[in-house]
Amino acid sequence: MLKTYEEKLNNIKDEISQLGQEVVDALELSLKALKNKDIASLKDIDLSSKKLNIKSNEIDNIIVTTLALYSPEAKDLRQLVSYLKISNELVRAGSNVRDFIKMFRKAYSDDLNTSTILEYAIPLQSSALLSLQTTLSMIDETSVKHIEEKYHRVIVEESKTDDLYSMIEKNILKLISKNLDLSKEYFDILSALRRLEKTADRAVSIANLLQFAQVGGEMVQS
Amino acid sequence: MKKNDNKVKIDVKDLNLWYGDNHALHGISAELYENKITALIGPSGCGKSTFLRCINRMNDLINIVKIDGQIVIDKKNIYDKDVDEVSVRKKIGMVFQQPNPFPKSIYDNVAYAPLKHGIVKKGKDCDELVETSLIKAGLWNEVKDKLNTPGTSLSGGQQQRLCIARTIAVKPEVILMDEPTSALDPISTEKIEALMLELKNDYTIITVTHNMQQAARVADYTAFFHLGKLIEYDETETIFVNPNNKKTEDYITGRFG
Repeated sequence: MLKTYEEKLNNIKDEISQLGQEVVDALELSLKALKNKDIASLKDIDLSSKKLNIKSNEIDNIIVTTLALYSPEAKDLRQLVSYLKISNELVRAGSNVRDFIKMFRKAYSDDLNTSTILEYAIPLQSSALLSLQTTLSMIDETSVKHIEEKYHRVIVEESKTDDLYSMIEKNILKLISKNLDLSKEYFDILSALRRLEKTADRAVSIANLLQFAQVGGEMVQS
Repeated sequence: MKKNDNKVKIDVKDLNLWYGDNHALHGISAELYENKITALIGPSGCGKSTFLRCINRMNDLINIVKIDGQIVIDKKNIYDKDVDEVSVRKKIGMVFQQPNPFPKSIYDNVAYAPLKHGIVKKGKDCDELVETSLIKAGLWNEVKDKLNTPGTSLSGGQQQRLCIARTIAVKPEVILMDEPTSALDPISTEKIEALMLELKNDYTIITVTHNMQQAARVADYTAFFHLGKLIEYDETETIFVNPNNKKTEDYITGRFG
């Protein structure tokens, strides 16, 4: 591998990791806010779609240049094509996290049954965070065994978010039936929590792409 | 072409060349930069090798060739009457398509020209120059224990690196390469490309290649020639991602040539 190509590839990996880390940081801060029941502090979390898009476009342009200049093949080609899609997936994950933060802060109030909401929201958020963190740690992983292990961990966490969301949905519907006046607020909370479940979906999609990049097979995007 | 801060090493001004009545190069003007790799690409017969050979006055060896225009290197037009072509070729080394070591030992292949030009005398200085040149050419570790064996006994890729060591030994400022890897296998090709990237720290490299991927991989600047004209010359990234001229785009994408 030419040194110049290796440098380009490492640069792309670093940029993708940084992009992903911005989303993870926002998710971590929002988890902390929920754990501390300090919902007002959600407004301090800065996750701008514009910034994520600019960064993602930069990454995509580096990838296009690298494809044009180095004509990669086999694993190198799989990696670059995957990274091109991953940057887009991370923007989507960031958008879900940003929407969750915004919607949850707006809908949450002491008039609602906050203990029931937080009982499920916190583990849901933890699983979404863990799925994304695990996915990002796959970027620098080279051992096929470790990639497979991490991939399965992502799948498990994503599956947890599905289950937790179903449970909270059922419980919130019960709460709505008891207090129809707050139905809008409860639906908005559900809608916000749905964004966490979608974030985990994006993590799985990225994990699929990273597995394709490293191990091979067919490209799968969920 | 975008403005940049690179230092111009070779300034080509309105260069024309005729083989008898055949006008082979038409008004070529370009600034070639120091410590950069410039690749010359284009279909067969487009004038890229002819242009390359103008840079060290190799075309002077052909009787029917007529040249006008200027090639200014370090503020001196190499075609001025007071310039001796041998001194030009000492300053501007050349590596050819086929590895062409002398039928001598590995040591003598590298030492021959420096001794002839009086750059070093036989003995310790010469030994050091041979070693340094072979190290720079990435060949030292492979040949240090067999310096007295014939250069022709090496593999094709090693022979080409020996030729590069031989070129470096006369301390040139510019290295011209005419399809330096076209006769080599992919592994040897990668070694030469990696070597080119190392060498550009010390030399200005101009290379002709039919392999567009090679130009894309190693060159900082790329010049596209067609029918004796310089169609486009820009940063390699621009040429391969967003060429400004349709002919360049058509050639790069394999639509002609």
